[in-house]
Amino acid sequence: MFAGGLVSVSAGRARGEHVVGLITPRRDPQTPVLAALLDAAERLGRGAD
Amino acid sequence: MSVAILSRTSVEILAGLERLDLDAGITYLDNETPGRVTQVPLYTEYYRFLCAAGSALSGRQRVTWPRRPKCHCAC
Repeated sequence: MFAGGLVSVSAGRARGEHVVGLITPRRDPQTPVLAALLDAAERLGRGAD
Repeated sequence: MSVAILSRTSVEILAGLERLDLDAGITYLDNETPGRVTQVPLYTEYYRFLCAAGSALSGRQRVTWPRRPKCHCAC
């Protein structure tokens, strides 16, 4: 079907279409497990985009 | 402690968090209600158009919606 190969072309808006992220219920204090998950997500998100 | 990973729509994720059925979710942040949830951005989603090499749009830097050929798939 695509004997010559495929090409990927940028589409849509240059700044991106959607921001994807982690969401948790807003609690104070946060549970230890979710606090650790939020911390990991913040470190991961800083390294992306 | 056990971890379960579930596939849910963004609406179901929000509802699950509000009912306390879910502890966390990964979803689009564009339409979330900031006051009720804590949000941490992870990445931005970009759209890509796939086409055959050598096709009419394959040489472009970017395609926009009005120039995309109509989908011929059976939906």
